[in-house]
Amino acid sequence: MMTKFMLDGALNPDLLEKLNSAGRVVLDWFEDLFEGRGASGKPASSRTHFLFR
Amino acid sequence: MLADRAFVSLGFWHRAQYLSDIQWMRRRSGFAAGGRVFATDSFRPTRIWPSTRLKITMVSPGTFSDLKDRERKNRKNLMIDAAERVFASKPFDEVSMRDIASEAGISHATIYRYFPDQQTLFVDALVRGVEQLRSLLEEAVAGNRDAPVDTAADAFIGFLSEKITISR
Repeated sequence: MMTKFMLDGALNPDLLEKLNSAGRVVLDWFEDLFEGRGASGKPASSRTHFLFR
Repeated sequence: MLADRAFVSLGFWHRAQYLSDIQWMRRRSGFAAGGRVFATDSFRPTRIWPSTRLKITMVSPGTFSDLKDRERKNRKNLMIDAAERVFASKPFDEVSMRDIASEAGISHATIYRYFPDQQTLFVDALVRGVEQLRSLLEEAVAGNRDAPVDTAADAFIGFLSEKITISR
């Protein structure tokens, strides 16, 4: 389902924002987790995004 | 407000039942009271025997609006469950709202009252999945504070494996 919209999907802006907001919540959660374990700044952010590659 | 609990003892219940029966017998036999005769068979108290101590639980009733919101949310969840099953069985482009309605056991028109189009349904399914993921992660980490990153990673991979329809 995710792949469909990543590759060739087109969402209307409101739905896109809704989806992005939900995604950001999980990314922020992981970033907080990494920062809590000593990583901060770019390393925490990079590790978080690595999970969703 | 927290739930209040009240217990009604069998003795109290029996007295209430007894008085109810007395009233019924008086009506049936044409018992005269205050110059008026009550003679009708239209009312017969229903006897419900409690198997054990009768427990009455009083829960904060909320409002009808709350109840409607909960019902609407439950219905939407059932439709999203059905949508996930349908999306898992065939490519996205071949899925129609009619397929999802059929899977959910509702009419084609009903589903449009909850989701105006397929994209909205799709996004709501994803958002619900993300909320479930976050709850799962929080629970997992709360249960193992010694190695939160490992625990979160395990929970994350487990979720993706289980919800492969959403994540792939």
